[in-house]
Amino acid sequence: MDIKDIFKAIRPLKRRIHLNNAFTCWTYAFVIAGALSLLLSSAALLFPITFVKEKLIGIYLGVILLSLLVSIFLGPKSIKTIQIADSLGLKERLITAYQLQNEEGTIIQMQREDALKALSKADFRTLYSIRVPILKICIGTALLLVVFVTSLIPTIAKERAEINENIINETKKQVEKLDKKSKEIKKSSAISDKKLEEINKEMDELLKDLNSSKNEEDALKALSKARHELDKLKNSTIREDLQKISEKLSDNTLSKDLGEALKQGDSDKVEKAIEEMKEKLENADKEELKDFAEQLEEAAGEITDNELKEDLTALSDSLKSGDMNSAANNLQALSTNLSKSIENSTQNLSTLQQSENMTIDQLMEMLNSSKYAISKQAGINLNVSQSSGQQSSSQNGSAQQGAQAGSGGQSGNQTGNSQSSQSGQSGQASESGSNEQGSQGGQGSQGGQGSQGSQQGQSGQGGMGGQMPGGGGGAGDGSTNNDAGYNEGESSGFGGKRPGSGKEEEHAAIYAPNRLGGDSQSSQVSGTKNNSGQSQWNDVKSIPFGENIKVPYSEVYSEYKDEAMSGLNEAQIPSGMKDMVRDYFTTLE
Amino acid sequence: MEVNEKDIKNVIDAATRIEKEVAKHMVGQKDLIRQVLISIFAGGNVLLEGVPGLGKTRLVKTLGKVMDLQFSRIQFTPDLMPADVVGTNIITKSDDKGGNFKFQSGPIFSNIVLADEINRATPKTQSALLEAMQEKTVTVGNTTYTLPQPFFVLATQNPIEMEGTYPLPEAQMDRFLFKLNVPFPSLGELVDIVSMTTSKEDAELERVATGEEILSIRNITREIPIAKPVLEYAIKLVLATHPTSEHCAEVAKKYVRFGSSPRGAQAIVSTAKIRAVLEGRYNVAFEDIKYVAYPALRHRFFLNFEGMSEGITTDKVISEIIADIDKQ
Repeated sequence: MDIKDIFKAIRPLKRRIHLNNAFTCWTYAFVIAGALSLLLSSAALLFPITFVKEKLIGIYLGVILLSLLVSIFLGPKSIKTIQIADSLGLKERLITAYQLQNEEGTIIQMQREDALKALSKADFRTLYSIRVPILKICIGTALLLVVFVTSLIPTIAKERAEINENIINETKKQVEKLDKKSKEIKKSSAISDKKLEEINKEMDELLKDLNSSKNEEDALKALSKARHELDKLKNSTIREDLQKISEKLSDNTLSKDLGEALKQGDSDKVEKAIEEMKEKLENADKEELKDFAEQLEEAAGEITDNELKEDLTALSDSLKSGDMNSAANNLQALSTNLSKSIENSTQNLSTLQQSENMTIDQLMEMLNSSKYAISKQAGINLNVSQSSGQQSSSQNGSAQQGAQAGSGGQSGNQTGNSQSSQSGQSGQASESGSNEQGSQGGQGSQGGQGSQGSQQGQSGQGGMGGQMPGGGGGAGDGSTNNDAGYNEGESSGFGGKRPGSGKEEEHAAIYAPNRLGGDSQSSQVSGTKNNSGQSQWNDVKSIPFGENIKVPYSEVYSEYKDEAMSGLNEAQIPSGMKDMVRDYFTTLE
Repeated sequence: MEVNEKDIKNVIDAATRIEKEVAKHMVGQKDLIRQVLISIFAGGNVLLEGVPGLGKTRLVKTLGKVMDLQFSRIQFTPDLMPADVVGTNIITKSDDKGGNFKFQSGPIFSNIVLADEINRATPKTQSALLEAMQEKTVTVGNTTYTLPQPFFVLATQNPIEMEGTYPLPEAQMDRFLFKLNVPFPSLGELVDIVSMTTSKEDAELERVATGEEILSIRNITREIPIAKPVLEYAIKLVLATHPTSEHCAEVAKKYVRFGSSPRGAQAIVSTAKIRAVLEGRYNVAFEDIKYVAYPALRHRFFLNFEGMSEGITTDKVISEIIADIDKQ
């Protein structure tokens, strides 16, 4: 006989101890889950905690499952079982046998037999009863009841939480939709790899932001940001090329008219200007021709369109060589290509590029609908532009028609597009108009330039019904009268900068109100308010708006943003305005 | 030593026989008799304390009769001298008219020595017993004499509050394996005592155990195993009596002047083994330790003034120490 017989004999006791430990563990878990749930449900009375019921069930299930798992490992060790058995009347027979398990001798053997004999006589069912901890179960049940009752009490915080739950659910739904769309795009072969990579990157970031968004503010902000970024990915190469050529040519007296004609985007005027330029070239001296040739070469170096580049280079070469016949031919070829480019400025995108733009537009449309859905849940009357996709898609169609018709130029066409896509929503119509402006260089970015100003003026007259105060005067801030709804505001340019081209290092100076009164005098007037009496005033120096009290906006941006964001939550602000503020800061980033 | 079941049975039988025989002359006091027997089997000395008339001397005399051992009695009095206990060298005449010193052994040269009312002798005489009690030898002059085996001193004393008593020195107290308090008999026991001692002559006692048997029992019981936790429990008990020990119990900190010597731990373990065998077990249990802790420790640590002034007894301190350790 050896110690194994003793171990075998104490197994029933071991099982009973294990069961007792498990009972204790389970009841403790029940009480702990109750206590945690009570804390949560109490907190939910005061604070808007979302998905409280699900969390309560989660706590109970989690803690109880954990306790079940833990209880598996709560089986007593042999030594512990032996100690308990000894304490039940075996009088240290087992612990002695256990400790002498590796020793041999008559007395040791006798001791083991004695221990086994005593063990076999012991009735552990009576000596070691299974104790169900009634008290703890009662406490746990009481806690459960209190939690149940607490969860039924209606409070303002709970109503708010319910709204938040709806927002979160809606956000999740939108995330799923966007995710699905994102996957479809990934499978699409109608997009170049590079563009696909960029779109995927933006979409992944958006999904990540949406998944980590804690409230509708975050979600809407993420959607706005994504839309802004996606819009940047759209193709607009030819238009840029024409603008570059226009800028270059405007600098030279020989080609100034051509430059202006290009700016206006009028192909007839371009042809006419080229004809005039032919004459000018013939009369020009060598020095002028040389300068002009260099400028043409520079312009050729800046553009991406190969045909235009070749034409400009050929013209430059022929002017340098003094071969005017060749120059005339080249000029004619340039004229043809420029006209074609103007005509195609909105349609000249390749099939692939059009497809890419279509995809981006679809995505942007989805983002808009997501924003609309989330805002609706949040109770915000968000006038999200539903037309951006239509607008963009129609840009290739109706804008082209407008250009072909040659009535009022490009901006007129755009306004027409906007109107056609707004379905009579006046606020959205003006927003679309502003979007177009943004895509062309930003609100105010071209302000002050007479020609552009007049362009906007046309736009204002044609499409916005005079909402744009810029008018013909070419005021740079012609976009200030955008609709009171949600403004996507692609025109993020400041101080004449082009929009969306990364961080701007040059900052507008912002008046710092905390420095008010530095050099001025203060005066106090005493008296009683009534209808009679004398009035008294003191002249003070003007408020010092000098350079020394202005700071770059980058220094105050984060402070302003924080103030604005906290203000959104605390102050009574019309819901539509909230998004405007939010989006304003988003675009600044 | 190889111990078998028969040896263990013999121990139990011997104890039963002795107890049965002693019970012929002693009414009640079963626990006292058991504790004296445990001490004898362990080869230790016993100090019996109690007021006069409780049967202390009678118990020892009875034990001397039932065991086939040489018995002597020394009545300690204030004028008792050490030589009266251990013996002395005397001059004897020889045939050639010369004189020789011859050692005349004292009453200590016996197997069972009854040191009656030991605390009535002066400390000098009490100290004469020290060597005999610990080393089982006696030194007179330049010669050391070995005492017969088994040897043990069964001393009785009156409580020190009584007139004409000298408290035993700590060193001597420590040499007693057990200090047993002789309780006053209960009503029923007293009736039996009075009846027995006033009606007829005492019953004849038989010698039921020999010296060899007792020495054998001592060797057998030493083989009884003790588990580590049980041994540690005994050690903790002893350490807990030390007011400066990290294991010290609160009660000892408050009331104990100095704690038990290591002999206390030895006494507990050796006697616990015997108690386990007498209980029919082959191992020492916690309850054996607790059982022998009182007689083994109560005379080995000393109360401070606060303890004495508050009427605290050493038994109470031991009880609290045990309770304290059990809680851990």
